[in-house]
Amino acid sequence: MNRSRLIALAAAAMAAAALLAPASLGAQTSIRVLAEVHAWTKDLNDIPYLQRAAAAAGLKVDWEQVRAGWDEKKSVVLASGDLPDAFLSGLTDQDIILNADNFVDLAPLVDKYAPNIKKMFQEMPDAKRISVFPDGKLYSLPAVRPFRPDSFNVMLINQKWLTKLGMKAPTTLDELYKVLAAFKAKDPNGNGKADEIPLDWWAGAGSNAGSRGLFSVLSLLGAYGIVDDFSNDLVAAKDGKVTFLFARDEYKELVKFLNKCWAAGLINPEVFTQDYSSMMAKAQRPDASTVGVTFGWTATDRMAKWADDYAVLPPVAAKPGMKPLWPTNVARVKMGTNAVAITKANKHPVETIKWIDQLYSEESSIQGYYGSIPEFVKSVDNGKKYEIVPAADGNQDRQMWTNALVDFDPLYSSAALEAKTTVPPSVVRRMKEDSVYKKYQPDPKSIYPIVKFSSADIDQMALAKTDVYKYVDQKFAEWILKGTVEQDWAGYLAQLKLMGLPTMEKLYQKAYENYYK
Amino acid sequence: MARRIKTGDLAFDLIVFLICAVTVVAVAYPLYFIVIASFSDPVAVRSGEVWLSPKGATLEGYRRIFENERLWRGYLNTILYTVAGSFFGLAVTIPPAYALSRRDFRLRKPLNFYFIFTMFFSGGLIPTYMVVNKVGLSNSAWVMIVLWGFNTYNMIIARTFFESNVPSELLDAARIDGCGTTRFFLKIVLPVSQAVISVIFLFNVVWKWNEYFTALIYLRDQALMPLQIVLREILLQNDMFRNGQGASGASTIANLGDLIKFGIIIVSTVPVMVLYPFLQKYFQKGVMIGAVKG
Amino acid sequence: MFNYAPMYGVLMAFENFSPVKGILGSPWAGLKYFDRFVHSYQFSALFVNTLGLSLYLLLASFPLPIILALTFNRVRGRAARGAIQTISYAPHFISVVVVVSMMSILLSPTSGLVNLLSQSLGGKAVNYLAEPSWFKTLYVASDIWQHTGWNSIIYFAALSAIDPELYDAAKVDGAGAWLQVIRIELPCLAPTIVVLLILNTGSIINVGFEKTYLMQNALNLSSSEVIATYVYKVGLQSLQYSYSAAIGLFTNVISFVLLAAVNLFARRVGGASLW
Repeated sequence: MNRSRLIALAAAAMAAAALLAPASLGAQTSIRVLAEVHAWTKDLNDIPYLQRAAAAAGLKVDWEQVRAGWDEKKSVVLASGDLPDAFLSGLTDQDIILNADNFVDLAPLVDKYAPNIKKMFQEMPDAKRISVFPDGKLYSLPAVRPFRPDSFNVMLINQKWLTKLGMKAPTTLDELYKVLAAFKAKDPNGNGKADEIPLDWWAGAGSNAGSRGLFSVLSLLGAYGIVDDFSNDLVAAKDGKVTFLFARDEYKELVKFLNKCWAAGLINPEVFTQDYSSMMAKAQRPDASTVGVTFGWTATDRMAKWADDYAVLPPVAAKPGMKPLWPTNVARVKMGTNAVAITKANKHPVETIKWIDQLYSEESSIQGYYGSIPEFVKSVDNGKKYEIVPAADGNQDRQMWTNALVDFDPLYSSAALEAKTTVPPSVVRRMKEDSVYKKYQPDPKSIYPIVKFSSADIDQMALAKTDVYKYVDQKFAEWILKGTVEQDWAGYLAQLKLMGLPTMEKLYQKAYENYYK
Repeated sequence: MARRIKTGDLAFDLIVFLICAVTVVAVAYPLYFIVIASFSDPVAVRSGEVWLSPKGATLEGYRRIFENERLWRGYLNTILYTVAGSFFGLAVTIPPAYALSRRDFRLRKPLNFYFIFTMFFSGGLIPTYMVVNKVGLSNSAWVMIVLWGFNTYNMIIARTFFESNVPSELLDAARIDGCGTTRFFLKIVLPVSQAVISVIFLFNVVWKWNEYFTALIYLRDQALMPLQIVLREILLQNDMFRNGQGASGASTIANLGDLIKFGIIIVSTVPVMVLYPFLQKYFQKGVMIGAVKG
Repeated sequence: MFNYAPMYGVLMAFENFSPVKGILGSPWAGLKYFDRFVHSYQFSALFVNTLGLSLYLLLASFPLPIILALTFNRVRGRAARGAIQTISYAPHFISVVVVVSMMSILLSPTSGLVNLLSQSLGGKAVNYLAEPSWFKTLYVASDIWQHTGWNSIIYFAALSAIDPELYDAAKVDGAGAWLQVIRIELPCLAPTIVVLLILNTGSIINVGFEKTYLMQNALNLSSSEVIATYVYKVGLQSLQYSYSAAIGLFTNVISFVLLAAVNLFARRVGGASLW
């Protein structure tokens, strides 16, 4: 009975679907686009700049918008072969490489039909370099975003406390230690309680990144002259040789320093177990500021109402006289990969690339980040100048993310475009914070670039990477608590080797050399 | 002797009372906590200042939830899927459960095995997706109602109930009265089994109400999305910025995330929770077995 | 039917699956992925953690719903009973994310209620979430809290089907509440208990992924990494369709064997069986 009933239902469903399907649209070409969209963003059909881009290309775009559960959705769509005509954002390199036969090489199409994209590649060769796959094909296009800082991370110190205690901003690790100790002992927030947290960071509890993720204390590695690349891999290149920071002596030294802080009670005791919201809430308590030194995207975001108490702290040095660094990675902060891709299911690749090229135009790019003209961006003299309209309630982010695709938009923000755009105060503030670090940038060649691995390489490294990073995270936390890094170190290195670190080194080296070839 | 029983009973009732009291306290406090947390300043909740009463009372969380225009549509869809899906689930679960409970049913063993096997081995998501696609169920309300309507676990529960509560003598007696199998099932088995049917109905309702994954994978149309998808979206609205994509003001919003988390629990569970008291009357002791026998 | 038609998908576990070629066209890899898993560096630790956690969960949580159902059955007032039952199963509806964040709020070593209470009684503050030895207990306790009330509904339904005449007869025989439980109620529950026990044993290897993952941190990983979370992490590094399919099949085979064994045992001993 089960079966016949199902068939009947299925038939009914198909009939219903046929009835509901939109009436034939006549001659107009239409494409189905699967897009990962931020949960704030409103229905894409209601966003004017996207409509204008489609109209300019003479296309009708059927949006399939995913705001939650993208990973699952994407995996099923890719694995089942039930492909849309194009993907907007949300694909990873692996998604594309492992399904390479399903994607169209865009290089010839760009060459013939996409002047805006071509211009981007000419002006910013890096944008193209990070987009080419190991087989030499261009399966997806990058996004180049406007007004981005050089670093994801800023180190914040409670300037009010410093002033109150009559101390100077620390310039070495030793001085930092003394400042932290004073923060703990001298009740700088003056509420009579020993509730100060001298040092805190985001250690990734309940996620998969441990302390390797953003806003981490590992930026202090710059004290020893090495910095990571914000990829969660803790990798860098020294004199052309790829090196994993977690297997270096500098890392060991930093762990020792942190253990010293831990033993003296200077680190938030919950640092390894707190989730992101708890960490934020501790710093934003309404009754008193509680955090001495920490890391974040910007003071306003990290500290909310206490933001003005904090100053950006330049990197400290391991020893007096040494020149410290701060992790910066212009490419990773400014550019995104795989912003858009066309699949083999697409019967109109030429029309599609023309439409995509529209999105990369100057006028569309500024709207793709800040919202449509004229409501959210003012175009003066027909594009001679752009003014971003400040949000009425002061919440620029909400305005942006509601009315544009922002980081999910395929766009090209050139230096020329930035030069003729006026931005709101929140952006200015973030850029100013970032400028503190201009002096401490590492040698560009030592920053591990955004590379792509071949599917064979991925396959070879997958288990090694899972095991290695898990072990690294575990040991990092353990050492800070127990202080056993010195005696464990040799065994740790041997274990990493056993887990496949040499394979990772080899493949990362190969990809590095490929990139600079 | 009677006295000993009395004290025994007293001790028993005391234990019953204790268990009830512990249950209520242990369960009710965290629930109460969720309720007050959904009205409190999220920073205060996180820094451990909210225990007995809300602090920095705010309706912001609920405002954010209810201002989402897709929410009501989601509610409507979910109610449709839940009601239709739960009845469909009953229709495809109870009859086979009954058939498989009958010892005189010859295919009983192999069929039982056939069903249980599926509990452990399945082709996985992707082949299932392809099959659903081929049948044409994708992107329609039907997939939410029909797919996974039959649940082996529920079937086994119903079967076990039938096995122990519908004695075969009953059927024999009915046969003598000239009652066919179908009539027996409809007129005697179903009324006798109200309790288990309500349980399975309740299971179905809760399952369908919370169904998220099926909608995510098989539905494309925004207008078809159930409540759970909309709620996840609202939840995620505050989650993206830890990747460093936000800038000023992002944190006030990130904190709202907690408020919304707690609020969503209230918004999404109260409607299902009030269902139980209605179903409770079917749990009356000894429904009608006595009557049937007598 | 929707379960059997896609069954050919298990083939993925034995091939180098590539979506482009499809399941039937992908090259054959044999037992490569099974081999890789069994010989992986993590295998024994994962296996021990997974089994330890689920056995603990099964043993600690299985009897409680039965006790709770018997308790509810004794409560006379219908309104009171309904209220208590509704409260007891309410936590079932709370999402895992919220359960985990409530744990972190209540158990915080500096501001959590639990530590504040134990400190006022002279105890020391413990960061429960950081201790590998506490992980399993927290997991199991929160599970019990969440699902005991809900799981008792099945038993309660079975109890409600007991013929009132039986109670009357027992009373005439002079049986008190305890004897009624032993002579009438437990025998009535027995088939349900056996069936659920068998089913639960079968699912022993499938520990809740989401809660485990959310409760993980760098300090408790040594006891909180289970098969499900490990597979997820491998999947993050690469889209290994075949590898995860192989591990999935591997755990399901184990589950099924376990189930069959327990079922056989139950049949030999008590004459009850799932099939």
